Amino acid sequence: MVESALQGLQTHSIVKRFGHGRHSHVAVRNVTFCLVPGARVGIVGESGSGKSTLGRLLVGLDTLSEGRITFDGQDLGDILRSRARRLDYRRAVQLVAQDTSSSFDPLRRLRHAVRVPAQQLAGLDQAAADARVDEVLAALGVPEHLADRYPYEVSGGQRQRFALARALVVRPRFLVCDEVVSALDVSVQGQVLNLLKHSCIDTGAALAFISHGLPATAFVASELAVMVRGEIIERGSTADILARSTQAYTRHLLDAHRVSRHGRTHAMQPPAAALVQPVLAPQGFGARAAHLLRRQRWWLARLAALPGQLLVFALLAFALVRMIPGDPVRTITGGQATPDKYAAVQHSLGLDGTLPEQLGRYLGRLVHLDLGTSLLTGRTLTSEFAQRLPATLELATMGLAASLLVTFIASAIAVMRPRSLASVAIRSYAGAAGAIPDFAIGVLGIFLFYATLHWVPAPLGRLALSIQAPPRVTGLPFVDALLSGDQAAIVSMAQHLVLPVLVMIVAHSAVVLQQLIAGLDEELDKPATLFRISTGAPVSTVLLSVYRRALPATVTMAGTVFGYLVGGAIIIESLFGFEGMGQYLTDAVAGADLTAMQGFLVTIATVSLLIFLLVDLCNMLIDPRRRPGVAKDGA
Amino acid sequence: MSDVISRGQIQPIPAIQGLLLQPAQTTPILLADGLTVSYGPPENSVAAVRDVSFTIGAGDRVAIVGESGSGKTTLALALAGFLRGTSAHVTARTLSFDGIDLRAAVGSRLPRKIPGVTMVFQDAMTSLDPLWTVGSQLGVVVRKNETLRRRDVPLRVRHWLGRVGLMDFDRIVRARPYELSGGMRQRVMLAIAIASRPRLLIADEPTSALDASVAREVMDLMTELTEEAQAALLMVSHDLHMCQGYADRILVMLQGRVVEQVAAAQIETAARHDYTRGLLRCVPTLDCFDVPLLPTLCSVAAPG
Amino acid sequence: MTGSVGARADKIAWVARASGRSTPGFWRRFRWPRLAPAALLLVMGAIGPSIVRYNPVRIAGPGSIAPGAEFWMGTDPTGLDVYSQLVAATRLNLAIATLVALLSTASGIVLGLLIGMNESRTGPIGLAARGIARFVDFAQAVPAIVVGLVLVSFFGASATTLVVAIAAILAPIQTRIVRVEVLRVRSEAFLDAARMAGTGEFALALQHVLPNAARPAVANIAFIFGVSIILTAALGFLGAGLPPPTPEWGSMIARGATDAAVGRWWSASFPFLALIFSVVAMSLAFTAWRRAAR
Repeated sequence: MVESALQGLQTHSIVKRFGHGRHSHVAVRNVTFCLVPGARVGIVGESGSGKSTLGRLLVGLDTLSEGRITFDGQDLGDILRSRARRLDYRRAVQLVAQDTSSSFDPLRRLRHAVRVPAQQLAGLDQAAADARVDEVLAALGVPEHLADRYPYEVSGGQRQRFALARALVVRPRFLVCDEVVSALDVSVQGQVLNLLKHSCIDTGAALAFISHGLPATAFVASELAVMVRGEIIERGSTADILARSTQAYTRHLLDAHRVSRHGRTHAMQPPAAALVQPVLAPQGFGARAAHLLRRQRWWLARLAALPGQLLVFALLAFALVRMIPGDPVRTITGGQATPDKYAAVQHSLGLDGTLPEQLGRYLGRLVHLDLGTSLLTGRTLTSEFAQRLPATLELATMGLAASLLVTFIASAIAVMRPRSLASVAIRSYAGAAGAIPDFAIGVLGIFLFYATLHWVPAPLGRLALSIQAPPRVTGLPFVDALLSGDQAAIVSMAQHLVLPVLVMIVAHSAVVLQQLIAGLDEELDKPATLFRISTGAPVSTVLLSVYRRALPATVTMAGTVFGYLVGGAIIIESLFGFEGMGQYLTDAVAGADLTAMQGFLVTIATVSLLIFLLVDLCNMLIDPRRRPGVAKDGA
Repeated sequence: MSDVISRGQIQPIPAIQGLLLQPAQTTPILLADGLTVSYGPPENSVAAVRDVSFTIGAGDRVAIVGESGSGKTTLALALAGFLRGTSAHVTARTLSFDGIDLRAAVGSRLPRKIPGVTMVFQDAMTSLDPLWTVGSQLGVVVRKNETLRRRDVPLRVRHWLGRVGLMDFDRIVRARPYELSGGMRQRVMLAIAIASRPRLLIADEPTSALDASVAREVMDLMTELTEEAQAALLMVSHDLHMCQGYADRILVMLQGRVVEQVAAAQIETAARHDYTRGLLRCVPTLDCFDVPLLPTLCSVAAPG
Repeated sequence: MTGSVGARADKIAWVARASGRSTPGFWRRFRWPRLAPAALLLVMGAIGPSIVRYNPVRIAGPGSIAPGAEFWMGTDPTGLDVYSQLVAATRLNLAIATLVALLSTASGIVLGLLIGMNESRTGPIGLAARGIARFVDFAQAVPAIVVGLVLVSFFGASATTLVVAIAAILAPIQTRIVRVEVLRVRSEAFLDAARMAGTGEFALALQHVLPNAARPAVANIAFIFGVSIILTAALGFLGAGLPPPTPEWGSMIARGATDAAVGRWWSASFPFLALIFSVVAMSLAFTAWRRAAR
C-alpha cells in the first residue's frame, strides 16, 4: 500500500460511536485508511459493517468520536469550521449516496439540484452553471429534457445518474460513492458502473466505492478493502484479494458470490457469530426486580414529571391574569368602590402586593390545593369544583364510552365492506371530523326528538321533576343513582341521558372514526396482514392483529377527543339544564370571576395531563415497541 | 408451437419465442393461461401483466426473473389470490390452483387465502406481526394447519423452530420480531410458512434485502424445506444468477410479458430472446473484474 | 419494494407517466362547479349587510313568527329578523375564520420549524425546544371551549379576542403537524446532498425544510377553517363570543334553543344550515384545489 504522507484523505485510528451508555453502538472501530489521488478503492462489507458511516465521516457529514481525519495534511475538523475552507473542501471531496425516493428535494426540478453545487462551490453564475450542468449530463448520457422534470418523474436509474451529475459537476478530486448501484436494475447497473469507472480514470479523480456487491466493486476498483463490524480487516489490490486472500471472512464473502450454475452451492462455513441471541432475561428475584424497575423507569419518571407540567400551566394561568389590559379590579368593582372594597377585591383576586409576593402566595396555595375563592359565590373554588366537576366529567366519560363503541362498530362496517352504502355513509360522516357543531345538533335534537316526536323527556335537568335526587355519594350523578338502587331515579336519569349522549356521539365520534378507518385501511394492506392470511391464520386472529396495530394512534386521538368532550359536556349541560360546571362557568365568564377561571384552567389542565398519561400507558400495553428501553433488532 | 404432453393431457402453450420447456413430469397444480392484470378504467387501463401462460407441477421449482416494472410481483400476487377484491382487473382463460378457479371474485375487503398456497415476502421485519411473540404467531399457524390437542402445540412449535436451525427455543418463543436479528427473523418467517403446509410456496424477492452470505443460507433452507414438504416453490426475483442456482425452470418477464421459459440448466445455451441473453451477459460477476467495460443492455421491447 | 397493495398504485402512476401519457394542465383539472358554494359565501360576506331586509340589531317585529312573506326566515324569540341576522353574520364569521386559519397556520409553521430543527440539540436551546414541544402536545388536550372561555373572560369579548383565542387553540394542531414533518424531512437524503453542495444550515432550513414541512399544514387549512367557524359559533352560543346584539350564528342558535324546545324550528335551523354550508363550501373548494394541484 502506497502511503503518501501528506496528499489525499487520511484517517488516523478513527472511531464513531452512536448512542451512549448501555445502548451505544460502535460503527467504526479504529480505522486507519487512506485515499490517495488517483486511487480507486472499493470498500466492501455486509450490512452493519460500518462502511456507510465511514463514507459519511470521510466527507465530513458526521463528526468523529475519536481520532482524526486529515485532508492534504490539514485536520478535517479545522477545515469544516471555517466557511471558506469548508466550501473548498466540498469542491474537492464529494459524496454520492444510494438513490432513494428522498435523494432529491421533491419540490425542485432536477436541473436546479445539479446546478446548485456549481453555483455555490465553484462560484459560477447561473448561465455558466447551466452550461456546466449540460456538459455533465451529456457525459453521463442523460437526455437533456429530463433535467426539467421533477425527481419523481424519472426512473431510479436516471435519478442515480442525476445524483452522480450533482457530485461531478464541480469536478471533485475525490469521490465517495455509497451503494450507488445497489438499487438499480441489472440492465442499468452496467452503464452506471462504466461511466463511473471511466469518468474517474479520465479526470484522475480518486474514488472510494462503498458497496456490499462484490462483483460490481471488483470491476470499478483497483484496490479492495474489506470491512467487518467496523474494522478493515484486509486491504490489497483487487486481483490479489480475489485470488489469494488469507482472511477467512473474505473467503467466505467470495464464496457467497460464486454460485454454481446448477443445483445447490457447496456447503459454506458459516462465519463466526452469525446468529446473535436475544437479550438474556435476568435470573433471581432481586435482579428481576431491578431489571423491571429499570424498564419501567420511564413512566415512573413521566409520573414524576407531572407536577412540573402542572407548574407550567399554573404559571401560565398566573401570567394570563396579569396580562389583562387595564385594571381588572376596577372593572369588577365598577370604578366607584370604596378603598376598602377595592382592597378586598384586589386581595381575593390575589393582585395585592408585589409580583414575587403574588407568585409565592399563589403557588403556596396551589400546593395546598387551595384555588382561591370565587368572587361570585364567595365559596372556595375547591369546594365549588368538587361539587360540580365530577358530574361534568361523568358526562364526558359516558359520551366517550358511547362514541368509542359506535366508532368500533362503524369502523368495522366501513372497512370490511368498503363498497356498500353503509360504508360510503360512514366514511362521509368521518370526513366531517371536527366540524360538527354539537350545540346546534343538540338544539335540533331537542326540536326533533322532544318537541316533535316526544320520544325523550323535556330538557329540564337530569331527573323528572317529580323524582327525588339520589343521595350524593361519589358526586357522579348516574353512579350515585345506581348505588342508591332507586329504580325510578335510575330509569328517569337514563331517559334524560339518551339525547345528550346521542348528541355527543354524533358530534364527536367522527374524529376518532376517521383516525381508526385510516389506520385500519393502512394496516389491512400491509405485508404483515397478507402474511398472516397467507399462512392460514383464522379470520378472527387476522382482524385482531389488524386492530391491535391500528389502535395506538386511535387511542391517542381518543385522549384528545376527551378534551373536546369535556367542552362538549359544558355545552350539553347548558342546553339540557344539567347541574355541573357549565352553568357555573358561563356565569363566571359573564361576571368576570377571574379567580374561578384561573382555577378552572389549572384544574382542567390537571385532568388533561392525567388523561394523557393514561393514554400513553394504554399504548405501551398495546404496542410493546413503545416501551422505552426496548432493544430493537437484537443484532 | 410446442405442445407439452403430460399424463395424456395436451397443454397447448401459445407461441413464445425461444420456448424450450422440459416435459412436465409431475401433476400440474397451478395453471395459468392468458393471465392479464390491469389497473384503471377500461379506456385508460395500464396492464401490469399481459397474457402470461405457464403451469407449475407438484414439487417444481420455478423462478420468475424480471427487473423493476416487469410485473413479476403483480403476477405473484395474482397467483396467490391477493388481487381478488382489489382495484385490479384479473382476467385469464384459465387460472386455477388444484382445481380452484382463482378468477372468482371475493366480496370482502380482507384477502382470502387459497388453501395450499403460501406467500412469503421480501422483508421478514414487515412480514411478521410486530406486536405478537414468535411463539404465538407460529402457534396459530400450527393449530390451524394440523389437528392437534392444545397441549401438543408447543411441541410442534419447537419442532418447526428446530427445523429452521433455531435452537434457543425458550427465548425465541417469547421474543417479538423486533427483538431478533435479521437472520433469525428470516428463519422464523420460513418456519411459519412451512408450518402452514403449503403445496405451493411463493417467495417474493426472498433475498433482495439480504447480504450475499445470508441469502445463500436462506435459499438453501427454503429449497430444503420445500423439498421435504413436497411443495412446489415459485420464486420471484431480479437476481438471475441466484435463480439459476436454485430453480429448475426460469421464466423471464419483460414489461408484463413472459419472453422466455427455459430450463435453468440450459439457459445459457437455450435462451433465444435477446433480453435474456443480454441479462445473462451484463450481470457483473467476480470473473469479469478486469474487463475494461461491462456489457450493457439496451432497452428491449417485448414482442407485440 | 414492498408487498403492499397500496404501493402498487404509485408504481402504476409512474408507469402511466413513464409511458408518456400527458395529464391535462392545472386549470383544466380544476372542477369549477365545486367552487360555486364558496363563491356564494364570499359574495354573501361581501354584500351581506347591504341585502338585509330589516336592521339585524333592532327588533323587527313580534317574537317567534314563523317564516313567511314578511319575515323570510321568521323571527327569533326576541323579535329580531332571522334572515337579516343570518346574512349580516356571514361577514363576521367568515372574516374571523379566515384570520384564524391564516394566523394559526403561520404561527404553526414557524413554531413547528423552530421546534423541529432544534429539538435534538444538546444544551439550553434543545431543552427549550423539547419543552415547548411537550407543552404544545399537552395544550391540545385542554378543551378548546375552556381555553376560549378563559381567554374571553380575561380579555373581554371582541372580535380580536376571539381571533387570538381561537388561533391559540388551533395553532398547536398545525404546530404538531409541522413538527412531525420537520423531523421526517430532517432525515431525508436531499438535505445531506444540499450540505455537500455547500448550503449552510440556515439556508437549508429555509429553502428545503420549510417548503416541504409546511405542505401538510397548508393541506390542513380547510379543516382549521371548519373548526374555527364551529368554535366561534360555540363560544357565541355560550355567550362568550361577540358582544350581543352583534349578529353571529352561534348566538342565534342560543336564542333559538328555547323556541326549538316548543317546536319552533326556524330560529335555530337556519343558522345551523349556514354553519354547515360554510364548512362544506370551503371544504369543497379546498379539495378541488388540491386535486388539481396534484
